[in-house]
Formats: sequence, structure tokens, C-alpha cells
Amino acid sequence: MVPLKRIWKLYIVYATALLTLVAVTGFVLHGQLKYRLMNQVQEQLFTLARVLAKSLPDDLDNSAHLHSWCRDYRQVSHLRITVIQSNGRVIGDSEDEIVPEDSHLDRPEVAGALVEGSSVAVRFSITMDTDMLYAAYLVEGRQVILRLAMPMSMMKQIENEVMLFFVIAVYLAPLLAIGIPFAFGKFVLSREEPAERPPRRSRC
Amino acid sequence: MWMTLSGIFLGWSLGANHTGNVFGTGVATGTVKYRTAIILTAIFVFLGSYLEGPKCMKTVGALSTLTPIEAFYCALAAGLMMSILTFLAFPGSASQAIIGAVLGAGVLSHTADFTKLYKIVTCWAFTPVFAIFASYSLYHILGYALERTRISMTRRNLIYSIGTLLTGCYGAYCLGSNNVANVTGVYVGSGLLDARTAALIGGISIAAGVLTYSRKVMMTIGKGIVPLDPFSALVSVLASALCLHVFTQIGVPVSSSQAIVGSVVGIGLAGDVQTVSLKMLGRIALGWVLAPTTAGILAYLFIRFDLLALLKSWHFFFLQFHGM
Repeated sequence: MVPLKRIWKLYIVYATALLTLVAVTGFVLHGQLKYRLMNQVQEQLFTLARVLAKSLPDDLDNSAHLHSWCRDYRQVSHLRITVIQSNGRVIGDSEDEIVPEDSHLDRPEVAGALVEGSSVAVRFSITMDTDMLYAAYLVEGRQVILRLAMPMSMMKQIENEVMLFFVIAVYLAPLLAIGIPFAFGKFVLSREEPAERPPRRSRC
Repeated sequence: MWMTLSGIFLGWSLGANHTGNVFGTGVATGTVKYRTAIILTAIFVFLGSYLEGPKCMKTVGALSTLTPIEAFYCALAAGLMMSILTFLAFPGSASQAIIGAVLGAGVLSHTADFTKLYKIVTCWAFTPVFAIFASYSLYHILGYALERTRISMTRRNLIYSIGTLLTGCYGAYCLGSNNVANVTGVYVGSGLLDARTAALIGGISIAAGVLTYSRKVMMTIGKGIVPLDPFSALVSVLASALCLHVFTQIGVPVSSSQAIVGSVVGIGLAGDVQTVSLKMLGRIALGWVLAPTTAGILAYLFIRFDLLALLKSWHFFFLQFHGM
């Protein structure tokens, strides 16, 4: 059996360590990316809710007018917009003309907004038939909650675009881990080997 | 059901090419007879596929939304890719080939999910690392245990023989449980088969490949790549089997070839000997790039130009041309 040279031993250890490091760093970065993306989207939803709160119609008893207002802003923002009274009754919805009779106080984002002023929740929407990110904002002085909802598929789409580059980086990392130290090892050996060779005898 | 034919072809080629990873060294060193090796491998590959195979099925199917015909093309592209790589003697990975093909189809239909791909790719990068670590540790632990027990040479050889048989069976079980998702996982994702039926069909096709066409590869792997002593051979098979088993529990299909090469490198590190040639490392690196990209491109082209419709029209033209 051919003994393993020290340089190749170092090579294996280095390549293994590099691979582990890349994979672990990737996992941490992936987690951070998801977390920050979620925070960013939530922040944007609340900013939009605050802007919309300023333009809420004066007459909140006119349900038809509120529905129309919600639909107008949905066309611009591509988000589902719902106006809910503090007793949980829906008075305007961009998706559903028929106002649901049930109280929305059991919805986690609505309950949270009533206590803290604003709240978010990710859950399945029966109306939209998909997972949604809900951001509810209590409009001070009007006693209504403005709720914006975004399909999680939109979040996934943004995440997907970023992850493509992550995946390529992690996939190519092993090649770099094998290739670069390999070239380095060959270079070191090529520098060492000539010194080990016996010197040539001169003919004369 | 005819759409599962490409998966059966992929399973057959996987069975024929990967058996060497399990019993290759045992058969080459004469510890196990070829016939015994293939029968045991076929039985345990099938058991692994059927009992634990469904764990990885979801992962393959979840990468893109496939229709049954797209699933057929994906398995066909991966099967062709594997056959070409085997013909060129590159240690390609069926997992990488099928994932590449599914993504190729996903890119075309705009349904590719790269967030899930990340977990898979990380597991691929970890496969050789885990195998190196496992074989290095096992080499020292088992070596220490054997040194402590004072037994005769005959008894030691008997232990090696039984150990080779047992680790081979465990390796075959893990190979089936981890790799059957590569064979029929796409059909589960497309809704053509349920996970249990897919595992059954996949298991049978891999076992068929083992029984009918594994001799050449088994000898190549046993003699050409790993000139190890019986103890090292036993440890390398056990380490790669452990590696596959761990990734099966995580639910990600990985490459058994890369696992065995990793464990052989680990043996070299532990025993201070060169076990894998530098040429081999180069081939692995090339296979790493070629398998998913080429399978992805093939699947993309097959679906884009609807290969079956194209073949039908050519056949029709051929019949017209010959006046039939």
C-alpha cells in the first residue's frame, strides 16, 4: 500500500473542514434570510396599513362603500384588505361581497391587534384556499382593525429567487474544496520533489 | 402504468451499478461468493425499499409540480444519464441525476422550488464528510476492540467473513431504503403512484438489476478502486451504510458511490495509506457537475419537444417513406 503523504492528509482534513463550514454557514444564512425577509415583509404591510388608515372613508356604516374602497386598494397593492370592527364583525372586504356573520375576534392576528395595536399571523385562509400572511393594525380613534393579507406563495417566490444563488454556491463549494487545495498540494509536491532526486552525474 | 417503465429502467441500472458498493470488496477478495452476494443484495435492497423507501419519496416529488408524462421524461433522462456515466466509468449519482432532471422540468413549467433544493444540496455536500468521519471513527473503535480480544487467526478470519456478510446485508438494506426514491419518487410527486406502490415497484426493479447485470461493476469496484484488507473493507461498507441510513431518516436521497468513496478516504486517513487515486477524485468532481446538469438539460429537451410525439411522427414518416 502507498503511504499517505502528509500534504494529502492535510488536504483531506482541509477539504472536509471547508465542506462542513460551508454547509453549516449556509444553514445559518438560510435561517437568517428567512427571518429577515419575513420581518421586512411584515414591516412593509404595517407601513401600508398606516397609510391606508389615513384614507379610510369617514362613513364606516356604509358597507357597500367600504367594500368598494377595499377593492380599489386591492387592485393597487395586490393584497387582500379587510376592515373589521372592534367587536369582530367584518364591515369591508376586498374579496368577499357577502359579509360573514361570525365574529373575527378568534382570529389570532385580530385578537393580537386589539391588545397590542398590531399583530401578524400565518395561517390557512378558507376564502382564498391558501396559506396567507395576515397583518392586522388597530386604527386609533376609529375603533376598527385594518387587516392586510398576502399569499405565502408571494413570500416563497421572493425566497426562491434568492435561494437559487445559495444553492449554486453550496453546490459548487465541494468542487472548490476539492480543486483548490488539490492544486495547492500538487504545487507543493512539485517544489519538494526535485530536491529529493539524486543529483545527475556529469559525463566528463 | 406504462409511464413507470422509465423508472423501472432507472431502477434496473441503479441496481446493476450500485451493488458493487455493497459486496464488491467481499466478492473480489473471495470472502463471499458472487451468487450469494447478489441474492442477499436483492433480498435486502427490496426490504429496504419497501420498509423505509417512502421516507425519501416526498423530497424528490416536492421540488417541482410534475404531470405523469413529465415524471416519465424525468426518470428517462436520469436513467439515460446514469447509463452514459457508467459507460464512461464515471461514478455518477442517481440522486443528482434525478434531482437535476426534476429541476429541468420545473424550470420549464416555472414550478421549481429552490428553497427545498437547498436542504438536498447541503446533504450531498455532507455525504462524503459524514462517510469520512464515520469510517475514521469506526476504524479506530473496531480496531481497538479487535486488538483487545486475543483470538486466533482462524477465528479472526471467521469474524471478518461473518462481518462482511452482515455489513453487506445492512448496506444493501440502506441502499434500497435511500435510493428507491430516485427511481420512483417522481411518480409519487406527480400523483401517478402512492408511496408504498412506488417503493414496491422501485424495490423490484433495483433487485432485478442486481440479479441480472451486476457482475462486471462488482468486480471493477472490488478490484480496481479499493485494494483494501478485509477489516478495512468491512469498515468502509459499514460506514457508508450508516451514512445512507442517517440520510434516509432525514428524508434525502444521497449518492451511495460518494458515500463509499468518502468512507474509503476515511480509512486511508486512519490507516495512513493512500486508498483513492487522484484520478478518481477528478472523476468524482466531473461526475458531480455532469450528472445533474446533463440530466436537467435532457429532461428539459424531452419535455420541451415531447420526445414521444416526436418519435411517433418519425415512425409515421419512416412508414410512409417505405410505402408501408
